[in-house]
Amino acid sequence: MIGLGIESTAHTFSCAIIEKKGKKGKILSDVRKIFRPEAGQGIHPREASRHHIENSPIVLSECLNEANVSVKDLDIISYAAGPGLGPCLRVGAVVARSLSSFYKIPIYPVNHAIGHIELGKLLTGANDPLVLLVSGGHTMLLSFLNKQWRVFGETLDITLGQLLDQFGRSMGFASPCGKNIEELASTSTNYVSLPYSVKGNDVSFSGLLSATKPISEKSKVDACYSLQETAFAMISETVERALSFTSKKELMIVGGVAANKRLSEMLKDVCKRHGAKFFVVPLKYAGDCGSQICWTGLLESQVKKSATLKDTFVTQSWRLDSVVVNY
Amino acid sequence: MSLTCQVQVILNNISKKKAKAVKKALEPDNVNFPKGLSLYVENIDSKLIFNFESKENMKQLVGTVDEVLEHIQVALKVIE
Repeated sequence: MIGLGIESTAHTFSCAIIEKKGKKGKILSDVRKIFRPEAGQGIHPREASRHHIENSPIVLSECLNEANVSVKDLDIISYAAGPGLGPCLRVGAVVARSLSSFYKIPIYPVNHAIGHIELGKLLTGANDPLVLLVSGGHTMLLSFLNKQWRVFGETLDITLGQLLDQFGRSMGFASPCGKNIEELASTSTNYVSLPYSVKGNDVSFSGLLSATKPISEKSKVDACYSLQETAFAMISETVERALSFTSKKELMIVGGVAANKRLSEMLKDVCKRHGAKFFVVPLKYAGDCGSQICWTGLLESQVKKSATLKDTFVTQSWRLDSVVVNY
Repeated sequence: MSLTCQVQVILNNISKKKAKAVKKALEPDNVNFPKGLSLYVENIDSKLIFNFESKENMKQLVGTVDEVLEHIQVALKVIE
């Protein structure tokens, strides 16, 4: 079975083709174009959607060529239906619906966050993990029970990705800023005390962001180091509590911030203490990509009929814990 | 005095199959419009006609026409 997945929830427009045989999936192509705002600025939804409009036909064509597949070979098309930025989501949906309608191909709306998890499981081989989803759009700890992902902790305000991006932009970097911050942080060991806010098993980063900005005026490297150490320690504490509570023997980290090596280092220590295996999604697939949407669509097509075109909505705030997973 | 503005966009010489695909691709997003703003799409012979209407808020009308035109452009490009 061959599927096309379309991702357009935020700054990335991506198309991917995966061939599914039994439980295995082979990524034949994954092409992306990323909207890059000017240094110091965030994503403007309409500007990002215009980027997607301009690039979607090129990305689709490159994706099909790279996979050596024609549109007529596709068995299903899936697209990210949410959560995400409305104007961006609508571009991906229009591309998917146009192809589905014109070529009569079954269409599947997919939850973007579940896409991160399912692709992570495919690529790491994790079986029943506690999942840490950390990106620009999410900061969630999740465990699967009775056909749904259950939240064991999440952010009460901004996400971990937003914390890093907003702090990086305040120093003049262009989003995404995680890599710049990680590089600067690796050159310091001077910890400056910052607010540490874990409430129950939820985290709050907005106070940490406000408190770190003035420190960067004195020393950028100390500020980056202290910010990472504090935020990642908060995450590690909640992961440790969730591992202890759920007795899971696997931890999998997915989402754009999964690329951060210091976070992985701290979480590996947590896993060691709890005798849990540690999995991290490969760097290339940590961020938003068509593969996550394609693979989830292929999994859904095993147990569900395709959606009718008139029901292919986009939902900006579609929570993953509201999705019933039957595959 | 209230101001009502109507905008009609017509795609000429479009095949029935393409017109149907574009219409179906755009229709699911034509929901939850702000009060006073509406869009009605019709397919007549080889024409696809988009009828926009706005009462009072012209900025919303311009923004909607802009986005819909972009979506039409994408839909046509990807099915080609």
